[in-house]
Amino acid sequence: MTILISFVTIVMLILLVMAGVGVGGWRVLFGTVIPYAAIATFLLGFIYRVTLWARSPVPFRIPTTCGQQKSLDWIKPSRLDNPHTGLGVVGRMALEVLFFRSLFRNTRSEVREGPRLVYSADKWLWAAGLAFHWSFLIIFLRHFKYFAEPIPAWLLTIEHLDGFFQVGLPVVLATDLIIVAALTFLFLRRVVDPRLRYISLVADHFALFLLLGVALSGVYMRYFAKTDITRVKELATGLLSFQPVVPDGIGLVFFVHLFLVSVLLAYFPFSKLMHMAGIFLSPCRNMANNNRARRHINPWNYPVKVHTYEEYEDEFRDVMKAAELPVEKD
Amino acid sequence: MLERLLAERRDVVLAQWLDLILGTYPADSFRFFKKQKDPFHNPVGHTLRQETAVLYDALRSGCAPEEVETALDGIARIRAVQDGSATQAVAFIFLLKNVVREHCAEHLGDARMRGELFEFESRVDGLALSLFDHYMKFREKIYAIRLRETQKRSFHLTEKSAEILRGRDGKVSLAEPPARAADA
Amino acid sequence: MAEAIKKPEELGRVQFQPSRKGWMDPHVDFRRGTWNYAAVAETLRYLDQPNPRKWSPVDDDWKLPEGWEKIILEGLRDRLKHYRSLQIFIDTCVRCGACADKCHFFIGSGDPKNMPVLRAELLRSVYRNDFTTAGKILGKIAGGRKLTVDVLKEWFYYFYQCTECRRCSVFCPYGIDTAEVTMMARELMNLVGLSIEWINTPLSNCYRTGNHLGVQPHGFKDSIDFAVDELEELTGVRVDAPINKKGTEILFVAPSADYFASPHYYTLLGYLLLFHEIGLDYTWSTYASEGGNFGLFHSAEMMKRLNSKIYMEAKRLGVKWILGGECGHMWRVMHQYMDTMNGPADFLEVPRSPVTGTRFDHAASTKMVHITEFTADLIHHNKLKLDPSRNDHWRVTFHDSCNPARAMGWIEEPRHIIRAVCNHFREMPENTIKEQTFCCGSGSGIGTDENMEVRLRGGLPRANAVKFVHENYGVNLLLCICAIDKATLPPLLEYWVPGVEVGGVHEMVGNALILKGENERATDLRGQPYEPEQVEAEETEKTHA
Repeated sequence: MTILISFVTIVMLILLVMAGVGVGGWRVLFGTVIPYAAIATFLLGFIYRVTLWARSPVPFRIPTTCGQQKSLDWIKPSRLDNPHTGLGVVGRMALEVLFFRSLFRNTRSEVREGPRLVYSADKWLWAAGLAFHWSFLIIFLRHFKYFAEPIPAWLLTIEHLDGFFQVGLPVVLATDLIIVAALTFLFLRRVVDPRLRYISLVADHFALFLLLGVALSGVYMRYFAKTDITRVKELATGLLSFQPVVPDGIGLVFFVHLFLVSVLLAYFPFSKLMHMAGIFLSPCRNMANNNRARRHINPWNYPVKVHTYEEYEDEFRDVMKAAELPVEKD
Repeated sequence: MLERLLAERRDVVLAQWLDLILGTYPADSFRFFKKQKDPFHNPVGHTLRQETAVLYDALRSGCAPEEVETALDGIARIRAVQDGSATQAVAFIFLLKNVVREHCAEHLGDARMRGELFEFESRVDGLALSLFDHYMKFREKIYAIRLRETQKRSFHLTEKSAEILRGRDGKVSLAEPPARAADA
Repeated sequence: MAEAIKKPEELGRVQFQPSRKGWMDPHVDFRRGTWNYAAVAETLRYLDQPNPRKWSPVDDDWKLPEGWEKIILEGLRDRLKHYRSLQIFIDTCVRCGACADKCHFFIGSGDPKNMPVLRAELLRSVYRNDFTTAGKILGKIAGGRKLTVDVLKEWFYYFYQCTECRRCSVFCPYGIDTAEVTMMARELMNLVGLSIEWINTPLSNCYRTGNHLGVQPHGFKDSIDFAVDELEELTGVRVDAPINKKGTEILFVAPSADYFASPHYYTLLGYLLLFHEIGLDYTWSTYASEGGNFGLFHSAEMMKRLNSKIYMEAKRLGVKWILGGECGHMWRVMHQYMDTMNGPADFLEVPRSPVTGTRFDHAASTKMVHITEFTADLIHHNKLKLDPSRNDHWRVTFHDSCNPARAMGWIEEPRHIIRAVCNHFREMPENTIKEQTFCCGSGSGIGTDENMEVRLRGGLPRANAVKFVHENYGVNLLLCICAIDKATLPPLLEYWVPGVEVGGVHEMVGNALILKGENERATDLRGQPYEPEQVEAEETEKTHA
């Protein structure tokens, strides 16, 4: 049901743009107005969400420690999994953001004859997640070639590396294959594994379908529809320089692609995709475990009702004296 | 005859039986119990897999009673703390009958096979009753543990500290504990 | 008639909650053995908590106050503004499922709502329904659920089936900590008077008498005196154990179970022997006679109210720094909350070991040191004479308690001590210890008897790893540095792995420690004879005489 709702929504979005551009001929609407609106929504929404998060204070220092603490000189601390300095936190976050350190922890053990314990990795989620995110990043960077003239060298290097296998014409880029495969895997996982099926919401499938739609329409353009790149570039640079033009001769697929990207951008700030920013603000990961060395301040720390020693002694003075315990007042 | 058949098809029958057993859990747990092979991350599935094999071997060819006892203990111990009634805890043994019957279906014209199958099924029944005993043993154990915990609580202490409590004036020095809510 | 009798496959179907309809349908079956008793009205009154009344989770009517939905939603709004953790953890989860099979309650029960992601979704769904635009418009399609009595009942059931152990947080790519979500959910439930007895009674006891058990000052003194007497019998050495003494160097704070429960008591004996042997200038306190803090399982405010006693007492007694005993959740409070809540402790000095001179700079602000850090330092500097063979009757393994492992990172300190005082030490499988340790299944204030079945389920993964070392290496003692572990693991192991006892690290220190002028020890601290045959023979002789 959740799958169906998300799938139908995506299909309807695609039909909408095809009808709009193909039948209605609203090329300006889908070529400039919606992209601008989407980018604006993305930027404002993103800033709004992050501001909202950042406005909530961090009352307590609560890192999840995943290794030895820094204590006695002769005990080797785990500087990255249990950082006690800002630098360590940067390292921990880098491992987390760039290599998904926590997902990588998923080990499992088996008892073999002996009894001997064997540990193996259960890293499908980690691998697929990493493959998707890295491909996405590289593809995102690659798209700058549509905005830049001349194309900078680093971009060409990326594209060159991406097409390392030199197969097909145009050259098949590894990331195109990887991103589609990874997204498909992540989707199938949610369908096949009953646990995942059970926890998945419409939003989870919607995000995957949307990304898949973006990726597939892009792939289709590059390898099958052979869209006229010079005109696309004209449109892109026009958007960037705020002198939007919608040149003729751009195929329908491009508008589908552009529209889905716009939807993605506009949807992003209001969805779980914000985990991209959220991870940097997660108090369990971005704080140093130096709790006892440095005092953490809670901005809303307020006085509470306490039971003072005087009240305590008043209640128990007699028994304390009988038990020869020292008291303040006789 | 039956014994040979059950020996030949051991792995298949066991897998089918285990599937039926795990099928009594919700779908969400089913795959986890079935797929997760790490005995430390999946003690339930691991125990079921291991102990049903022992029981199966015992049923088809007989084996040392201690092994059967240990296997029944392993399963009953888990079933006794999971949601569900006594019936639900024990019923899975009978599922083996369904599997075995299917495998013998084609040979049922043979009187000897029928005889052996009846005998096998009687053994399954016996085993189920035995499992029920084990299940009850662990249910009683849970209540024994609960009872002792409650007793410990009432005094808040062990034998040693009982002496402390009596103290020098013989008066109990604990603050009066508030009355416990009734176990509704 | 035949239809009335079900087939085995129908009979066997375990009726787990929730049904196959999906998790959005709230339904809980309060089966006996799974839930906790409601807090007693008078404890709520004593602590100025709302809605004191007599009720039980199995009642249909929970006697909620007028407008309870509003109270909870306003409470949630308020907490979202005060805790970035809550806001982030609610907004960023992508339901990737990495945490799903990491919870001991899920592993032991198979109940899908025990998957950490879903436990948090129980709260998240209400948030989406009332706090997000999509939820307000699309409702269920956007994953929103209206806050109803049934949803609240589900909260009560499942948020008291979380031990706040943080294991899921280790595996989450964003570090989402279900403990934090559970803490918030419990705070919200407290607002309408849904608390449990096993948390609230210790709270009110502790507020009044200084400790969870409600031991009054003279009772405290008696129990320490008793231990001193017993140690003299065991070792021939009379130790000094000052109480409420002003002007000492150190205030020692331990969980109250150490002086009133078993097997904690043997750890207490270990502390006393150690402090005597190194001539520590310290004092106990009756007012701060509890290191533990059930406030952590109730609300931040309650935690602060109870925790205030530690610094206040340190100031009154005029000590230089504070030493803390073996306890898990106590140390999460001391390490992650105390200084922030009740500091700064500028009237204390940076802790320095009077024996080795080591300055504990990592505790420079809080001024409180854990006893395993202190003792590991002593052992490292060869300041203790130890005879580990006095622990040879034990084959030990070490259970990392959740909070020391995942909120501080005391991995090596206790192990360093164990290796010095025990000859037979074996680790459990790698993915069940250290930061991946499995909880005892009874932490966070649910370690009582009425929910024993849930506790036994939750403890299965831990017990299962113990079983492995018990069967393969003959391990017969599980060491730990947590008072809740020491209270809840014995029944757990009795059920799952009979033949394994539970003890504290400093009990082993006490056994191995060679005291100046001690008699030859005939028994260990538990009173178990070292050479049973010999003792039996002596007894026979006596009978004959």
